[in-house]
Amino acid sequence: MAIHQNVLLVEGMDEVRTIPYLIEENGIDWGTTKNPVVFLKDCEGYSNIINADRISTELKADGIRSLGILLDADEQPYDRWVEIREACRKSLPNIPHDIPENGLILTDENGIRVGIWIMPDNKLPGMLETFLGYLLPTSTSASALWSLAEQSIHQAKESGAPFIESHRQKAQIHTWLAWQKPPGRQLHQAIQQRILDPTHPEAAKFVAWFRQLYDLG
Amino acid sequence: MLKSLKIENFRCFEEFELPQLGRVNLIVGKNNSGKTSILEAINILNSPNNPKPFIDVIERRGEYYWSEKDGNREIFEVSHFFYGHKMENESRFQIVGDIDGGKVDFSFSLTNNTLQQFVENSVREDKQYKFFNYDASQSLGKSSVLEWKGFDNSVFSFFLPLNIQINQILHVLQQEPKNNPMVSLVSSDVNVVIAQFNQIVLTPEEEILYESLRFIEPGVERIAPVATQGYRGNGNGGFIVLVNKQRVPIGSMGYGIWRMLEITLAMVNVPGGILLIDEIDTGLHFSVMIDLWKLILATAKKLDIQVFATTHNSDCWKSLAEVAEFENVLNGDITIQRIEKGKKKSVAFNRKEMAIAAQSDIEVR
Repeated sequence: MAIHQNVLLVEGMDEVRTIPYLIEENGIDWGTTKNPVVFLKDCEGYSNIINADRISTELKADGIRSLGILLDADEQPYDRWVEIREACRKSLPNIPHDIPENGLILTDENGIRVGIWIMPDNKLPGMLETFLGYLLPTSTSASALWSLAEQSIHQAKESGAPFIESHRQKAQIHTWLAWQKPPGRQLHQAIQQRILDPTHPEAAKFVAWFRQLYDLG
Repeated sequence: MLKSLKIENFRCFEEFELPQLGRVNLIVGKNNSGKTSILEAINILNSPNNPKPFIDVIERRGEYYWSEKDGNREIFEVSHFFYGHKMENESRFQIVGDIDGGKVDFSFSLTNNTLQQFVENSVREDKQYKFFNYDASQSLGKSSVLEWKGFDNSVFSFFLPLNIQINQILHVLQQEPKNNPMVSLVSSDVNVVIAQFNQIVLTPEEEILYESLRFIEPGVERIAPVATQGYRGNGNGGFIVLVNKQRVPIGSMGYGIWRMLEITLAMVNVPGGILLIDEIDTGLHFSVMIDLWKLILATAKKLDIQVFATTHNSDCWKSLAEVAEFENVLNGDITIQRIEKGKKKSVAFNRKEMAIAAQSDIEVR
């Protein structure tokens, strides 16, 4: 077990794979596999994160300086916020009633920094893929294809496509990616190869939150 | 049971608190973070009216020197007891414990008072007091006062000049009638271990001993001391073990068996008291540690003992975390306390948190 100063709790492997590229393409050195600038912990589902004892234990880890929590809003962003807020209350009695638009950053009584971001933007319903869907390159074809993807998803659903409603945005972004050059890139590759634009203004708030939480200058 | 402990100006601790103690407490931290000093503090605090634990520390750590100039005697280097090894005229350190009935307090202060002034003050303040009979003309320089305050507000003061021969004091302390000590330390001294065995032989607690030895060697049937006192061998000796119908000297059986013997005997000899175990996992494999923790917890509950152990080993806290997941372990039963230099409080993990830490790859130590 290594000691990590900077930890980000995430819901799954998609985040583990995409966040490093998103951050590095914004000019922050991610470090090495053994010594990343932030250690991304796959918690295998949000219920393992929204757990008061899990959070209090993570905050007691040897050497921890900054702990981040990255959740998907899914369909009810306010409910998700309330759940995580209450799970954090034991460790952060001063946690605010509402999550700020730019994400939450607080310091606990032992000087450990804690941050919370609810994808896509701390306000709207959605998930990581919703956020990535905002990062379309600024070309008319990109947005035209995006609308086309949206229509296609709609038609596919009417024809009995099995994806569940809350995964609509996943279906949409993967459909759009299927039409790019080269076709069918995975999310993290799409970021790295600038098929999605990591420096898009929509990403800026998240990157700024990340930078501030982990003190990355 | 101690619910919390506060230390001021003692050794490497300017100010340090362990606020949430349980029945069985594992103290973790890097080398030189002060783990053993915490055990020393608990020992001194819980041996009211008894300066022996204090003197034992000086002797064990060698914090004295031989001075020909001062008349061929050992001089206590008491500065090492204070934070920063610094001593001023009014230097003082303090240990405070919160127990179920209230607070207990120990303080060690330097004093310029003579013995006579000390006695007069004590009588006037209605304190119980004690001092050694020593030749006042031989006393040079400083003296100190050790003072215990009980939760019933009783005070006991002990006057200790700082340049008395250690051997002299230990000799006198040895002569004192032993009240049931409240604190038990694991001892490697074969004579001590034999004496501890003789205390519990033919009592129900003897069975607890066999249970622990059988974690390592299931064939152990009985043990007996080879000699009742004056054993002069080195190493793990002094006992014969009946294993699978054969009589075997305990030294033939490996260090782990000896460690189990040491630890279990120290534990069953202090019902209602406190057990201190430094570097608990020395000589013991991870799988055996789990069984040992279960036994310690069950025995501690049965005999109403509070346990403080130290380790710097990762496997050791994880073995305790495994025990934490059993259903019959309650919240106040076990804690892990991490000591970090420069911090004012220990980081305490309760039963749930240590289980989560073990499962989720969170580094505790």
